[in-house]
Amino acid sequence: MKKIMRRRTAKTDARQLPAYPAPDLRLFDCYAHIGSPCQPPLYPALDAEALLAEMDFCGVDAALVHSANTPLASPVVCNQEIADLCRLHRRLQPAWDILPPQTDEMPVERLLRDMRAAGVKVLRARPDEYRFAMNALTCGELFEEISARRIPLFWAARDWGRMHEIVRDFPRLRVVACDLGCWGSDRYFRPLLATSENFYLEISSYELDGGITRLVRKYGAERILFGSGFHYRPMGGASLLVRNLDIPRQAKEMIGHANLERLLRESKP
Amino acid sequence: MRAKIRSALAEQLLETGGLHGLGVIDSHGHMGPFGGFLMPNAEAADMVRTMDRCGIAWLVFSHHEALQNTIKGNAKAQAAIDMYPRRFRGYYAVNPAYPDWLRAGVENFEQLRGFVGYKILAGYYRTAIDLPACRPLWEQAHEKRLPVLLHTWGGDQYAGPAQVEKIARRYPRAIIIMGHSMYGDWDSAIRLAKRYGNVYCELCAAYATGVIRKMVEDGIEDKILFGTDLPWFDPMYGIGCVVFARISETARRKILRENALRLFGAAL
Repeated sequence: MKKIMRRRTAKTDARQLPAYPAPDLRLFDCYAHIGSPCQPPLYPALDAEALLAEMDFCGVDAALVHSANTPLASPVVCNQEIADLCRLHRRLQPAWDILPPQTDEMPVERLLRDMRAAGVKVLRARPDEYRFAMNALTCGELFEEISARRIPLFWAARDWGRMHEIVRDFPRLRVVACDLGCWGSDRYFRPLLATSENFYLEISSYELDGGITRLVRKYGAERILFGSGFHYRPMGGASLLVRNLDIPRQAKEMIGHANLERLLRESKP
Repeated sequence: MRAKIRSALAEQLLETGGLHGLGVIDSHGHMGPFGGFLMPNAEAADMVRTMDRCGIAWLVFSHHEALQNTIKGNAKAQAAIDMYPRRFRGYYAVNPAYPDWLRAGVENFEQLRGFVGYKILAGYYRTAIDLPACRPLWEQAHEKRLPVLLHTWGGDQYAGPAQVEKIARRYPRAIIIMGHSMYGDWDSAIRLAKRYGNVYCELCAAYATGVIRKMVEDGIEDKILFGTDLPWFDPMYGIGCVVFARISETARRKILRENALRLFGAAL
């Protein structure tokens, strides 16, 4: 891994401009959920209409949608459900879950072909829920393919040791650490931000006071993605936090939508 | 796009970046560096800057160090209160595992400046709030109508529903604030707040989707307190959760200020 120099460009230096609110900021939520999990939140989003209603209420323009129908339902089924649901709504983009190729449930070639057919640009790994080892032996073939095609891989940050290994072993893989948990994880993820240009953060549960401001100052805003965590977490809290961050407008635009839009644009399944 | 919520508070937040002028009261904060993770804005001056940015008038807090060493840490809290007497009020942190310190703290409480009540982190200490060691504290809280902020979490056997109910009955004038509202065990928290006039729900780290709406729909809008755990969390997150909850504007104002003002008003 190469050392990433501090990206203190004129465009993203939080100290150059005063903080100001951004009521009209375009927001593209990279971490929203639809479905009926076994242990549902108090008000689950069971369909696209429920998610869209919350997006309207909070002023969120678009969302990358992950299935909440896991892990009892097969990801093969859930992936298709999410794709079908998003096809009807221009503001929603589907994200699919992966399985390792060795069991022939989701061969790499077929996965990529199906992604192209369904317009899917983003994948998510849930190794604990789907019981596979997240390592080079199990996922090497898949990770090499999606690295070459610049397909972002969302991965809930639970085992940081494994995440460090994957980022080290697959330096071209675009890993988005999501669901960080509300206890600050800087000591885990900062070494990755410092050394891997393909390591990204989804910030739905990164609520640390002053945390994002300092990340922007030290590493730039290019690898930070706005997410709400809805329907598990309130969309209002995360969206307001991003709108009112003490950082320049351009950095907010990057975090709020532009970084994700770039990732989607560059993803070629 | 602009949010379609219809709320004067939301409009103010979106247009100005804070709730300046409302006088938000944050009932659950801390101060000082923390071992568990980096907190960039943990000193008193940093916290006041954050409060100014968000429009928080008052923070009631316990010092992180006081949760470990009550003597040293509460002294640091005292210094911060003395430095910012119009922004901070304190919970005097106690650990029942150190009964001598606890007793001394209770005996000395009246001499302190700007402390409004106590804080017990029972689950971390693995010492239940109804242990005999806590008796002097509860007797004083009952006698003086003092608030006691508890760290409560679903499944906790040290400050769980059974312990809170027992204390609420035995000391009906003591004000029991369930920090984190028994996270996950929302029904128990709501039941206790509804049943006992001296029991309150506090929201910090309890902003799961729909919790505030459920509490209000279940009839406890007068018993909910806003909290942020500052310097843990950017208050803007919690404020957003309250203001963008599907509840009335009246309920939002009660949660952000009026309920706490009723509890702490004389001390602010």
